[in-house]
Amino acid sequence: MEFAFDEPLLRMRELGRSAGYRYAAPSAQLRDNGAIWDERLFTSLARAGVAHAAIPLAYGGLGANVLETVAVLEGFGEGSGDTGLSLAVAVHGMLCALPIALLGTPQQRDRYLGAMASGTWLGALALAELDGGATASGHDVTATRFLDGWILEGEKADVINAPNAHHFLITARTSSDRRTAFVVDRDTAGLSVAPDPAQTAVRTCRMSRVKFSDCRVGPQAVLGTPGNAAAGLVPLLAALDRTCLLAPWLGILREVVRLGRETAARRFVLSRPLAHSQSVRAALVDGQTLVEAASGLLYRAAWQLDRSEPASRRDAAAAKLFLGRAVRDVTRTVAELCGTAADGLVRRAYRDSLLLTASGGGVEVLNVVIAGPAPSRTA
Amino acid sequence: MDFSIDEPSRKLVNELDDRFLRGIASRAPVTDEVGAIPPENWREIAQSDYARLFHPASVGGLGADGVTQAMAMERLARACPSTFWSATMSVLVCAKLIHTYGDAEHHGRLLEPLLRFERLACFPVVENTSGSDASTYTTAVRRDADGYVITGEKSRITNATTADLGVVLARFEEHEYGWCYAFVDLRQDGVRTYRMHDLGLRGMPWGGIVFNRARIGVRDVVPVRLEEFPHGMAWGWLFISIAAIAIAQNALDASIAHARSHKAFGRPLIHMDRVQEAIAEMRTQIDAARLLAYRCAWHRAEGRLAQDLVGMLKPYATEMAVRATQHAVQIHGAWGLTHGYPVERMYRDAPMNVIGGFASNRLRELVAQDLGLPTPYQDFDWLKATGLDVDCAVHPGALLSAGR
Repeated sequence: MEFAFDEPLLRMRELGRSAGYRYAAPSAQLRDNGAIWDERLFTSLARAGVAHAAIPLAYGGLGANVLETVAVLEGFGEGSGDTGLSLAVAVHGMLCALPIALLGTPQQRDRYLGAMASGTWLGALALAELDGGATASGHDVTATRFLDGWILEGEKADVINAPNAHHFLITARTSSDRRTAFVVDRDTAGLSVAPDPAQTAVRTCRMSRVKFSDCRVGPQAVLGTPGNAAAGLVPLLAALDRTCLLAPWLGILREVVRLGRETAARRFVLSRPLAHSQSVRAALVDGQTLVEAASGLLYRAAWQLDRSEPASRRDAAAAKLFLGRAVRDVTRTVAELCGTAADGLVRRAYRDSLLLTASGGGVEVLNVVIAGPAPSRTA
Repeated sequence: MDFSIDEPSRKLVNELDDRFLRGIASRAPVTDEVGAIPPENWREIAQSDYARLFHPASVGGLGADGVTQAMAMERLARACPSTFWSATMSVLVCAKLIHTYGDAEHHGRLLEPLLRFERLACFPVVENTSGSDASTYTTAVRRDADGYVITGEKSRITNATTADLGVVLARFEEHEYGWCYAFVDLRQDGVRTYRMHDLGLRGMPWGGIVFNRARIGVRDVVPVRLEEFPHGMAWGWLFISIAAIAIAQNALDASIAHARSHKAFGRPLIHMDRVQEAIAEMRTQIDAARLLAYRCAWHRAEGRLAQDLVGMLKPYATEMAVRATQHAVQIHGAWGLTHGYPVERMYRDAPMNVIGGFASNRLRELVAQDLGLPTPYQDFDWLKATGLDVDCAVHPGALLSAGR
């Protein structure tokens, strides 16, 4: 084992950090206030390499492996302090692009990846796709055969990037126990996007409800083998959720703890700085400890995805369970330190931590994955 | 960054595991019961490469990498945490201090018998007045006609009653540093030891040492700055953290086995969500602590102090293990509190690591200092002049009774 961030990995983290600091951080609160998607900002991030780090070189991306991509995203989270934009960027550049790169046909790769790398086309994905349908409602999308293609019916809630997306990565039920993955372009007849005006969390990442009504797609829209989403796309999305979507949060948490230290030195309670309280110092040390411990779990999960053998779903789920708890607890602690003065990143991170812990099915799913298969009732 | 384990070190660790599981692990209940480490344990460790893993070839070691050292430690700790504490205090912490601060030529004679487990060493630091506040320590080394003598009392010391050699932290007024490590032969008239009985790790010989003008050779007193102390102590924090991780892992394994085999309300316990939650939490936090321990061991073996990281590891890992044993007791029910059952022993052993070799909160202060949050202390009347230290005497109740 070797625990150093070597030179290339450090460069990747710095690439993400400086791009986040330079392009996103200055406007983060403003965009959050107005729930604004800034097209030019996104293009800048694509140009800087943050949004397309994982897209293969041949399509204009950086061709980074998962470990390096996680370093970029950790850096971006720390530099930008923007929970929503981090989510939007990682969903586009990793969770939408990587399945096309790994499971797509040559035609699909040629059609989408170049325009995704340059930031011209934005990819969208429903939050519920991260849990393999564990939280799906009765309205979930179904696909029925029609000629050589399919008809899609139903709707997806909380579709990340939907208001500005060019295409949607979705799974649809194709039989009682089978799901099929599709990539559907926005201009397909029968697809409509209804923006959510009252989005409360991750406000810099725009989400919408997407409806499919007699939406007909050809066979070229299928991603991977029909009926095979549970073996192909879903485990991949779960693995990317537990690495690439987690990574910005590690950077954000690092920054939150740093802000906590700053606040403790500056804010006076009972005529002395908060940092003079032993309890406050201990809480900040514990926060930093959780950052360091989470980093080991996150980078191990990322490293496993770059290997030829299957990556442990349990190890990746452990990373998410651990960091989710850490984000929940530490953002709360630091928000309390800031008291009524909590603003900016601390306030946003505290508010948005719920989305991190609830996504992918939440702890109910993670507990079962990590505790492992149980013997049957009759065993 | 690389999380793979290379084949030679995997093989080495597996061999240790086989050896320790056959003998030392099977004697762990007796070790706890009688409060002493059986001589067979020492023979079995001495026959293994355990002691030599931690040291460079230049002093007769194998120079294993940090992660291999950490894995080896966990194997012994899982077999028997009492034996692990006693052995590792001697061959890791004390041996490191001797070859770091001593000179190879003169102190080789002290080192080699330790690595062969022919002799055992202890590291007396703490005294009766305080655990970690060095300003209260009074044990001192002074010049005598033909060498040095040491006087004072150290207490709550691992291996106090069984050690042959003490690497003693003591005051040393004649040197500008003010402190020294004294390599003291404990088998002499000026040394008296006594046993103290503790909650857990009962097999570990724990107790006090009274020095009454005990003799020390001139070259066996090494002046040291107090700021240097954490360098040596950090090896202790690391091994204690690994003891905690090993106990937590044992608690987890016992819990899974019990939850799979034990049925209640028509189903195995492991089908209960609350049990799954506990197992998921234990597994996740053990992994987190273990990876952090590997990272610390890796940095340490590469020659870096990594004081802040080790300082974060110990509170996390040791308190995590206490939670893990609490989960294990909950899953085992009353068996978890019944004498003679393994989980009961883990439940007593785990808290020892939280306090032993600096309590968690003391270490948090050390880390806080590293993070730029120094530890001020001022005599302070907390609530004065705020009005928050006064009981409310003007209250609606008074108004009400006056009206009646």
